[in-house]
Amino acid sequence: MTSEQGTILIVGAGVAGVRAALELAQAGRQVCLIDTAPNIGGTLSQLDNQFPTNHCGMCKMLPTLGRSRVAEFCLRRSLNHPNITVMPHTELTALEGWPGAFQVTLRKAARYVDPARCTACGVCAQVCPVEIPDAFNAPSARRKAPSPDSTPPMAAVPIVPSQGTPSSPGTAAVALRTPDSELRTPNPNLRIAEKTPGVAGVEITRLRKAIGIRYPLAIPNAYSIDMQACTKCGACVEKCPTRAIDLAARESTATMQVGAVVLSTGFDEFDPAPLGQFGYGRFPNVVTSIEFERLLSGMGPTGGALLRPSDGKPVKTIAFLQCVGSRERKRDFCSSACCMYAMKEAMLAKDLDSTIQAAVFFMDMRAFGREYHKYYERAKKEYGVEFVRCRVSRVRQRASTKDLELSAFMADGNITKREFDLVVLSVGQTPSKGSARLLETLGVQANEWGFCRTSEASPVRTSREGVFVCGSLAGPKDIRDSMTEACAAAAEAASVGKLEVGTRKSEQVSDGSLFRVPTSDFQVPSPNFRVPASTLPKTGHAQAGVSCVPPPSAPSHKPRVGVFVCACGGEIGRKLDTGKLVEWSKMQRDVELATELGYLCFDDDLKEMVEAAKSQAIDRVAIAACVPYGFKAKFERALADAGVAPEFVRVVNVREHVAWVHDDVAAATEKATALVGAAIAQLRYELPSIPGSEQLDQGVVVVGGGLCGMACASALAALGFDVHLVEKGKTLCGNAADIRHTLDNPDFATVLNRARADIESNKRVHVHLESEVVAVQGHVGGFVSTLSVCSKPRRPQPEWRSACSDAQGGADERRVAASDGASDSPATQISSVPHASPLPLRRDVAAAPPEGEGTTLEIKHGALVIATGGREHVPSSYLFGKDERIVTQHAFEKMLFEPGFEKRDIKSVVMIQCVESRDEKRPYCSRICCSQALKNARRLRELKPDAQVVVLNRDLMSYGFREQWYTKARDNGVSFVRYEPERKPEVSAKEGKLHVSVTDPYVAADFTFEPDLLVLSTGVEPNDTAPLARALGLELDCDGFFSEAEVKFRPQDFLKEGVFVCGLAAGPCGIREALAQAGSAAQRVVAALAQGTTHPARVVSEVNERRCAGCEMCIAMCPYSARVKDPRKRIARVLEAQCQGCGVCATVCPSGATKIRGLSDKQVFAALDAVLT
Amino acid sequence: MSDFEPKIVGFFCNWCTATAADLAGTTRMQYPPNIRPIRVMCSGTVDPVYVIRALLNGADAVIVGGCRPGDCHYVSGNMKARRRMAILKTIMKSLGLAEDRVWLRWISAAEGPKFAKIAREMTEEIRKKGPSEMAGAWEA
Ligand code: FES
Repeated sequence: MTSEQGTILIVGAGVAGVRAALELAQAGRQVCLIDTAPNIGGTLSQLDNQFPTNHCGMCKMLPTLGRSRVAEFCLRRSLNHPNITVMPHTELTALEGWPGAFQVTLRKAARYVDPARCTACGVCAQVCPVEIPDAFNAPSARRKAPSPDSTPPMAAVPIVPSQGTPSSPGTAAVALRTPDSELRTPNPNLRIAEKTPGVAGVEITRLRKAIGIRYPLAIPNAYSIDMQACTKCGACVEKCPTRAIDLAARESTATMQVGAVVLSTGFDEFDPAPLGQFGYGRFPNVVTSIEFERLLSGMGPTGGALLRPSDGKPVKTIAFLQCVGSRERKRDFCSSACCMYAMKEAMLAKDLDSTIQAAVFFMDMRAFGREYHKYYERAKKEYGVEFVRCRVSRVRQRASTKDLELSAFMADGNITKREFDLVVLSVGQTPSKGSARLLETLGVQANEWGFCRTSEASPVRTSREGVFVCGSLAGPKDIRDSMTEACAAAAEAASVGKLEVGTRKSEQVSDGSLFRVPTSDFQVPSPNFRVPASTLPKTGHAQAGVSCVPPPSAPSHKPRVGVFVCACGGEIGRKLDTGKLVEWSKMQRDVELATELGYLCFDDDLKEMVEAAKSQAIDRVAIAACVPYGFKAKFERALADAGVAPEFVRVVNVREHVAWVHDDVAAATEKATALVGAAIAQLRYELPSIPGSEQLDQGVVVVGGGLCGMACASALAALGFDVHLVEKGKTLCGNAADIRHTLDNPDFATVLNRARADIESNKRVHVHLESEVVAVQGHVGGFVSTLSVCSKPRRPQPEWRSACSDAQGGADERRVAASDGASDSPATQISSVPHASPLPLRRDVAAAPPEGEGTTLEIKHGALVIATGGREHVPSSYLFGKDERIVTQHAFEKMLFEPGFEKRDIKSVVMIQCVESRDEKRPYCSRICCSQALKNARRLRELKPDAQVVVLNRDLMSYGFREQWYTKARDNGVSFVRYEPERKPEVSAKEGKLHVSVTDPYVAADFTFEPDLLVLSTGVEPNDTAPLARALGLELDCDGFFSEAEVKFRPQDFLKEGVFVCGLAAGPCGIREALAQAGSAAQRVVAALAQGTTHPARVVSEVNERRCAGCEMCIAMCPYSARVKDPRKRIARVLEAQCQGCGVCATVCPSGATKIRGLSDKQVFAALDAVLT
Repeated sequence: MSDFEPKIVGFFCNWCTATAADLAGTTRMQYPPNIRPIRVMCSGTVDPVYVIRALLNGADAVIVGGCRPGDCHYVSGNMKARRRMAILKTIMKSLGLAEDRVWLRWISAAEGPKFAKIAREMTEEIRKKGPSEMAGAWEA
């Protein structure tokens, strides 16, 4: 039993869980990551490529600061963080106590294969007589997963002796004899029996053995047994060289103390088998989107060739059917990601073979958001994917050819029929199996579809305090939004751990208040994970951002290298003469010790290695073993005991790179010696890491005092950071002040007012109104921002009071910290005793007169968050501005809340969506306007039940749970009429009347309306942020939004460390997403600053001062702005905190002044010499 | 020339191609042992000098493996590598050196089979070409 206060439990190790774990770990928290599956990774591990980049990019979410400890390898293969404990096969069964002091009970399923002893050699799978369908390539929808407590629900790809050979009919026969439990009906292998006789088809359900691994190199890289299929014959037990298998293993339970819980159990694909009309399960050529994804994969059942399941012929025509299991009466929500992934799959298929014809059958193409509309355009124009708006009613199969015929109801009422080789069902998201039980045990409320209930104002909080949720469990969503929520949930979970135990009772239902603000009865204690400022080495900043400590040089004595060869119980020894390798190593220069060990991954042998290294005073170690993903960190930790620093340990993979891939023992041995020789040679020139010692400033500047800025400041304050909230305008709240209601919350103003009051009373947040950031210098942990401030004493302005409506109470009396610093402002107090607080806030007021214009203020801070927001686009078309009956959605909303609106003579309203957006000029979808239209239409019908409302739209973007409001609106009599962008509605004013005419291409009818009011949904555009972007050296995209470091995995980050973005500044988003982003940005700040000092840098670039000519080529090339010019010496400098060690600078440097510590030219040359001799 | 076994140096990016090699190994895909992999952080780190040095030092060919375009862990290292290798090849060609002994390939972390295939193809091709005449030119 572990008992660690403040550990955070993350339930569900899919991409959101992994992200939350990484975030918390980076912030110094201990994390326990559990999953019922035997391997982590969730659904993402089945997807090789993501939209909208059509790439993987998962490694980009690895920490960029302090990366040397963690970010070494592909994240699909390794998750090594000293603070993260991964517990697969584990289920949360009980949660007691209260936030900050929960006691959890975990049930660990019996591990028939001990992961600590399993070397993933695969011998067991070779002898296992039982074959089962491979769930990885044919997911749970097809193969009903057994319940998690009895056996691993997910299992794996087979050991493939040779690639790509479709299983012979013989295998299929075996498969049909697989012991079949009721749980696994309908038997997926029936499909194999259905193959055209005499034709070699492709089994999507490739077979694997009952003992196996979910996919090669999964995390952890250990096998597991599907106990429902296992016959307990014991063959594997006998053959296992490490005695890792115990068929009598039992499940166990454990309890532990945790501070908070994050739920991220994700989704399962909707099972389309019960929907008979699509023939899934009956027709071999109807597959789900995930199965199709696997068909596209190089590691999939067809080795990346797109072949038909029925006859193995190359696929030429594909139909994608959208909204399977979404947007129907019983499941009245939109799964949010399917339109995008269908486009992606169509494009990837066309990448494989450009002659493939792909057609997407859809109702609304929900490519909402900033980048996604462009992706849609790309699919249409660049790839020629066909988009057909209709709902497919049924799929039939031609018995002879197994071709598929779709019958579709076109919107004009006609039925069309078309034939395709393959039909892909874009299946929706459904809460993952077991989540209902999980939510019930935790006492957390679920919504009507089984997703975890959250509120718009607190998107990651559940109904139980101290339990948070992120990812698809909180509602269907894509990876980008999951990433945001994962970070936000991490931030909230981390702030719970900081409450003093017992100060608050549990079972308090989330009150829907916007933000968590520490009140006086639970003062934020000094965060336990932060190094107290007084203990930090005081190095200071010589020049902003440049460490003045000379980097450590190589030890002066002769290197003493130890070479350890792991035999892997014969796995390596069989194909490789390990004896020869050891003997050869002994002869090498600097090698003091070379020896062979049985299993280096076992503690005994590891200890032996450490002892041997100690006794010979070894200071560098080369290890010839297997894949380094899981073990390298373990070796490094163990060898640290023997005084070998981690950077002096190199692992050569002689198992996967040599022994398992080459047959010829002599040649393999030669290759192995070459590789070990290269490692020895590189170790010879290895330099010690640069210790991280630079102190990081803990203050944060948040630019923009709108909803997002306030939420972010609040979250940061709750995490113990001092925040300067810089607002250009005279008041806080920004656009949110104009929001009166939302779809989910009819009374948004109250929520907002509470939030604003919270900010004003928060001692850690210093508000600077009418101020702007004009210059920013420095780097993460050491920024100096210059603010231009209005020097008048700041009092709440009258408009502000009206803007934030009436329910303010005494809030106005609360002080807004004047930026020019009244003597009692906390900031000034802190600055007078700089080190009294654990978070020293250094603040220098420039010598400017207290009165008058042009006062500037300098703030030293560690990070900066951009929340500059956006505004409603002002249109120039549709007679806007020429007729007062034509208004925007914003204005209409205001009108709806004006007293006396009921009495106004408005009987009919027409709304036009996508006004001047999703076109050439503004090629993005604003994401929120459809929701605005829905909510305003609803409000109007409430106030005036007979008013006629017509919404002219192109695609209605009611994604996620907004779909129900769309349904309700239609039920309630709101009419929706489509128009095509090529034929926009026409508006004219004749004889004092407005005329709107439109052609609905699907009904092929013209309509003319004479509304009393025409409402234009014009969408959002970013505020003018070019000066700020320039000051920070950031890029804006062509639409003026900030472009993030990576659209999918780093939505809040920039390549420049320490600067983050949230809200409308980063692209259109709704309230829920904006608040999640605010929390996420706060978490990113914490992750960057929480350690107090910079991290040790292992692979990092260095400048040889004498050689550098100051040509600045490296400065221009560095993608991370980690290079600056030292103006005094006129040479380039490296900001170690930002350097990622990619080595681009070294390659461009014309004078050879740059070298990469850990991978210098010298080392590469030495390695080259070694491999070529 | 049939028993000639070429020596090939592979500079493989840590994030994708080296992972693909691990994957190929895990799934036991057989390929000839002629490629000697050197793990680099990114294909963008590969200085043309490394390639030249390898060829002069006795390598019969050099392969640089990186992430697919757009996938580079360091944003665009692979694009820089592509440009650099293109220039290197042009220069080699104008100097009369066998520029087709330098290969640049994108192999993503999930493409174990592709890695094995390229290793087979490359060894075969270089075997056909025979030993490189650049080898040993160092001393001259
Ligand atoms: S990291 Fe693979 S090419 Fe740059």
